[in-house]
Order: sequence, then C-alpha cells, then structure tokens
Amino acid sequence: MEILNRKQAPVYKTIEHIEIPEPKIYNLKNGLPLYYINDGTQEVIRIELCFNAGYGHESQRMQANASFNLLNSGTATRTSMQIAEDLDYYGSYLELSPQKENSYITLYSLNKHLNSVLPVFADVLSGAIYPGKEIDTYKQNAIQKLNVNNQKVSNRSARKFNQVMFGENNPFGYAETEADLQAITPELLKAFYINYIKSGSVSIIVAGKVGPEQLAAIDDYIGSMPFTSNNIPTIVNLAPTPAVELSHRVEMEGTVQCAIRVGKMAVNKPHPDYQALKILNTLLGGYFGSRLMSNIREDKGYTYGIGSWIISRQDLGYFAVSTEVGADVYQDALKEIYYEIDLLTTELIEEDELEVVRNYKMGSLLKGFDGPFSRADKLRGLLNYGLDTSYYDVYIKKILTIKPEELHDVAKRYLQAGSFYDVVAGKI
Amino acid sequence: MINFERFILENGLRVLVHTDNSTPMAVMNILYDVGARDENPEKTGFAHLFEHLMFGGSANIPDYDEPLQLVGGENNAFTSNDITNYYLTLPTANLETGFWLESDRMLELAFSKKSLDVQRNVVIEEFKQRYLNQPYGDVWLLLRPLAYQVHPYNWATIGKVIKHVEDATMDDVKGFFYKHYRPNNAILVVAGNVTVEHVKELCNKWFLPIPAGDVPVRNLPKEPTQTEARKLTVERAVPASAIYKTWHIQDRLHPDYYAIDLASDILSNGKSSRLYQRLVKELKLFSDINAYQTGDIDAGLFVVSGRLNNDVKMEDAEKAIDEQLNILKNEIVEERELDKLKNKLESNNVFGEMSVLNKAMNLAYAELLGDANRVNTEMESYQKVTSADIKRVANTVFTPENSSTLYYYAKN
Repeated sequence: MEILNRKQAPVYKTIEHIEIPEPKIYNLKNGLPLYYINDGTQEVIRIELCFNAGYGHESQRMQANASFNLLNSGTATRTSMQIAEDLDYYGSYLELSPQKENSYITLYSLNKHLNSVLPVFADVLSGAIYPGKEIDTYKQNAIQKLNVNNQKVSNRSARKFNQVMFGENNPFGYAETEADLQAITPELLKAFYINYIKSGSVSIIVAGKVGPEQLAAIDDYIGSMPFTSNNIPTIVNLAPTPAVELSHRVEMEGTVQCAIRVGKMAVNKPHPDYQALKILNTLLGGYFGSRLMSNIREDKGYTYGIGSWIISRQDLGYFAVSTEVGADVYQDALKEIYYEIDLLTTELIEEDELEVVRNYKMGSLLKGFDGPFSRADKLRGLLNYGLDTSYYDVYIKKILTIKPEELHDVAKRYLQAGSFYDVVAGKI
Repeated sequence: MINFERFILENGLRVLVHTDNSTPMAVMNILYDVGARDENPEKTGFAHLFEHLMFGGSANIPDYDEPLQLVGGENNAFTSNDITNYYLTLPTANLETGFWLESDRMLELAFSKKSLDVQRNVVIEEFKQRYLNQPYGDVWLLLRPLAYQVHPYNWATIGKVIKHVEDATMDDVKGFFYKHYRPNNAILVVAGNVTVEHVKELCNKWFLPIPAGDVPVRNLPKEPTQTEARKLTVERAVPASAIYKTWHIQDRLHPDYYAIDLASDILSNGKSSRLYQRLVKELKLFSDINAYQTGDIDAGLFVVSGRLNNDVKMEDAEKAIDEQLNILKNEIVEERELDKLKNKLESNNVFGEMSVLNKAMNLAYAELLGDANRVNTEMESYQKVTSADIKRVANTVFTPENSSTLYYYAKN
C-alpha cells in the first residue's frame, strides 16, 4: 500500500460551467406573466409576489412598512386571528417583507394543501381592510422594538450611515422615529395598499413542484386580480443628499464594543463595472478568507466578524464595510480597514489569491442555483432590473477570466482613498 | 424519508452516507460528542473556544479555510452544551479535499500559539457582541445558574465569565483535543451527489489511519429535583421589562419529549398560537412572547419568555402566563388544535428536507441519540401524542416548585 502523503492536497476540479435553466412562463388570465421553476425533490410550493413598492413610494414615513406588515391583519371576511389560523392549520407560511424599493409577499405550502390556502392568500391580497385595533397593536410593538434596537451599536451605526450617505429626506436614508410610527393611520395604509399592492406593479415567481394543476389553481385566484406588470411607479426623492462631513460618531455610554460602517456610492447591477466590483469586493471582505477578515479578525483579533458589500438598488449602488470591534481598538480597526481598501488601489492582486476568489465564487454560485427556491431568489434579482439569465453567463465568464489589471483599475475608480464616509457608534 | 447507509471504521468512527442526486453539491458533517457540559467548571467556554482553534491549521495543513475555498467550498461550525458540530459544502467533484482537511484536523492540530492568542481575542469579542453589548444579552448567563445548581447546563457555551476564556492555555488545548477529538468520539455524515462505495474508499484512505483514543465515559452529576420556586430580580438599562420563566423537563430520549414539545407549540408556534393571540393581541400585555423547550440531551428546560408592554405590571404579566399554563393543565386540547400542530410539524419536516446540509445534520444528531433512523420515525412519535398526554405532562412540569423565574426590569 502506498504511504499517504497528507501534506499533498488532492487534485481538484475548477467549476467552469453552471447549469442555469431558463425559467418557464405561464400567462395568467389577467395577462401577467407568471415565472415558474419546477424542480426539487419535495412536494412543496412557494408563490412569491415581488411588488414595485417600498419605502421609495411612501407619502409618509413607515407607510410601506406598515402597509405590508399589516396586510394579514384582517379582511372583510376574516379577522387577523382567522387568517393566522387558516394558514397555520395547513402548516403554511406567509412572509411579508417590506423593503426599500421592491417588497415581497411569499406563501409557502405543501402541495397537498395548496387548494386550501390559496383562498386565504387571495383574500389577503385583494381584501385587506387595516382595522384600527390591529394598527394600534402594531404601533405599540413596533415602537418597543425600535427602542430596543436603538440600544444596539450595530443599529445605531447603520441608521447614521444611511442618513449621511443618502440624506434624511431620502427613502434609503431616513431613520424612523417613534413619532413616525405614531403618525400611521388606517387611511394612510389603505391609500398605499390600493395604489401599490392591490392593483400594484408585480412580478410573480412560483417555485417547487409546479405542474399544470398548481398553475391552474394559482391562475384561478391570482389571475383575476388587477395587478400590472408594467407601469413601474417612480421612486420619490431618489436623489441622495449626502452629508458634507465624512466622519460621524454616535456616542453611546456603557457599550463594550463599537460598530463601524465605512462606505461610499458605487454602481448598480446593470452597470458594466458592477461585476468586476463584486469580484473585487469578495476579495476584500466578501468571504471568510477575505483580506478584511484575515487582517482584522484572524490576525489582530479585534472582532468576531467583518464583511463588505456592494449593494445594488434600482437606480444606484454603493459599497459598505460593517463590523463590531472592541471599544478600545476602534481606531486601530478603522485604520486597518482603510489600509486594506487603499492597498487595492496601490498594488496589483497576485494570481494565487485571485484563484481562490474565482473558485470560491464559482462554488458559491453553484450552490446559489441549487434547488428551486435558491433559483427563484436569483431570478428575482434579475427581474427587478429587467435582466435575464444571460447576466450570469457574462458574470461566470468574468469570474473565470478577470485579470488583476482590471480589478486594479476598478479599485482606482471606485475605492479611491479620501472619499469614504465612516460612522462609529459606541463608547468613543 | 431520508435514505442512508451506515458503517463503522475499525477506529470507531461512525459513518453515514445519504445520497441525493438532485444536487451538484456534497456535504460533510462531523459531529464530535463533546460540548460545554463536558467542561471543567473552572474552565468554562472551552469547548467553544476549541471550535475556533479547529480552524487554525492542522498537523500537515497550515490553514484550513483557504484550501477549501480554493476548491469552491464553504464551511462553518457551532458548539452547544451537548455537541460540537462542523460542516462543509463543496462541489461534488472536489469531495476528497473535504476528506483531506477533516481527517488531518482529526489526526492532530497544529497547536499554534498565534492561533490561540488570536482566537482567545475573537471569542472575547464574540462574548461582548452577543452577551454583553446587546439589550437582554445576559439573560442566559443569569438563567442557567438559577435553574441548574449541579448539572453543567449551569453555564452557557460562551462560558461563565470572560476570564475563563482569557486563562485558556496551550496545555488545556492539547489535553482537550486528545481526550475528545478522536474518531471513536465522532460521527461523520457524507451527503449529496455521492455513492456509498466512493465514500467508503475515501474513509479508508483518510480516516482509517487515525488511531482511536481513550475517550472518557461521561459521568455528569444529575440535577436534583427542584423543591422550591426560585426567583431572581435584576435591573438593566433596557427599554422594556421582561420576564423569563423556566421549568425542568425530561431528557431528550424520554418518551414524554414529544408531548412537551407539542405543549410549547400550542403556546407559541405561529401567529394563531395561544400566547400570541391572547397575551399580545387581545390583552396587549406583551409586545413579544415565546415558549419553547431547550431540546438538550440531558434533562432540559421549558422556557416562557416575554417582553412587557410599557404600562404593564410584572405581576399581571406573570399571572397571565400562569393562566395559560393552567388551561393546559386543566383542559383538554381540542382535536383541531392538535391536528394543526401536527400539520405544522409535518410541513416543517418536508420543507426541512429540501436542504441536504440540514438532512446531514439531522442524521448525525439522530445517530448520536442512538439511532440515525430517528430522522424517519420521529414524525410518528409526534403523531401518537394525545391530548391526554399533553395535559398529563403539563401537570407534572408546570408546578411552582419546579420553576425558576427571572424578573428583568427596565431601569428608568
């Protein structure tokens, strides 16, 4: 028997191709396309409605948040308790996710119970009445949650960061207050609901075991609703009004850690530089082996975790670093964050390090397309921008072939020193 | 239904293989039968610190993460009071890299001083981030010693105090490794697009040469029956007062486990559950309330925790919880409500089996409990629970003398 050489890594294969089937389209009676992904081993189904509606479409703060979160608080024929009971009884889940510009309503069900829960789902979508009593409970609980969150350094730094990057009047920048929550009325929610949800602009994605029977059942309920797929409503106050000062501190007595955010505007998904910037960001702070993690956690031990992101919105994109570090080392940590960002603009990346990033990203994409729900999530991220799956063909090619020079060029254009906002919340 | 094959290597390593050809990925899950309950009471937090050190390089491989990322893989781990569990996901074609990495760190760690120094700091920051620098973060640091006087569930996995983590030495690390991280104290599950034959071949190549160790027989002190209600009152700078009540329950293998679990579901699984509907929506006493059982292997706890609305008195909040428990003790759960809970469990189970990693973890844990096939039979055990069972366990568990209560007041 040959002797095992444990120092020698096994031979490995590089992933060069990922199977990304096109989603199928079923035309609903109301003319809306329903995208579906029929895949997986389990008899389950997920129906997701992605609305072109969110904080960006509000006439008053927290209007979108409350309109979505209270959608299941009662209809003409069901109380909130009955809605909950009728879904719980069949082991079904309704998720309401209000977000900045697209918000989601998602129903999960076992296939065998789909016909029992679809009427409830349809009732909620087309018949929400926003009872005053339910709104009062929502306000009370939301205010308490806000007060709890305001004691967390991570929340405080995130709130401040959004304010300085986008401005207090921008839908991405405002930080809600108790007064904003108090000001919510049934009329306000009904107005949002009628314009943006009940007859809103929506994309529909169904994933799981999806056959003709399921599609017909969904069509019976959703296909008669007055949704639109075009007429995308415009976002109000979209243009950011960023702060003039770059450094901001939020003093919080008695905290043992500080939360740091560093960032600046960048580009979004449809932009030609976006994919290269994403790859560069992975190397900087997008995975466990990233430079920020290696330096600030694995070498210095300043933090439990650190990461960086390129965040894409429909009309803008930005870069952000986020971490929580020991209060006594926040200045050192900030220095190291800037050191790592700066290094990307001054030195070429070695091919060895880039190889790890390429392969890690390919593995992560392979996983990202594994299973019907993961694929539906990816599809949602394309539909929001009017993109199709060819986006990933281009992205995969970019990951496999990008050169250190291109990354260097992108770094110099988007991550140049001296132009970053930084926010620190905690005991300073 | 989760199909699997099981075999044991000569060194005692138990191996389970689950084939799922619908995925291009493979999963390796290694469960080590050691958790915070196995720690020296004067050196707590060690099992978890040790988990961090498992990523600091092994005898023949200087770095764990990079070679895995190089082949498109990802990994993580967690420590509980009972177990330490490591898992990785990678493209099937590169499965052998996982075997190479996992077997080398089971063989021997690098025991690097730098890694110990850094990870001590990382864990201290984790301690601060999760337990000290969060509103209500210290709750379990207070509740565990209140509920447990003798059994090592007395402390949290992060440790009793930061000092225990600070004081960890290299000798402690080495001792712990050779005592607990042996093949005969581990369960390996390989799942995904794999064949049993290939897994056997890889096991023989990479794991079989690792010698078995002298794993100590676990002999933990049993928590004596509690005979008097315990109460602890604290004041903290939080926006709202909260209450935490616990009762001792049976161990994970006790036949009443399923009835206790369903009792917690009646109280707080889903928006139609009793505590949410009655105490949050109708009476508006709480902004948030939860009931669950800890699911520990040794005798665990049933927990009810809630955050009070601003003008609500602690006594009224507690009384309302007691009333709901009294209903469980005195009234029969209606058929429809019980069916609802069982439907929910079935649904959770079917959705849970969408994830290969999840299936692998469940197999490993079931094997640890004595029979991997529990993953396929537990649903039946839940189906067999009757309303009378729930009433009976409620009467044995929810007694004042079995309770520990933490009154967590908001400082004005």
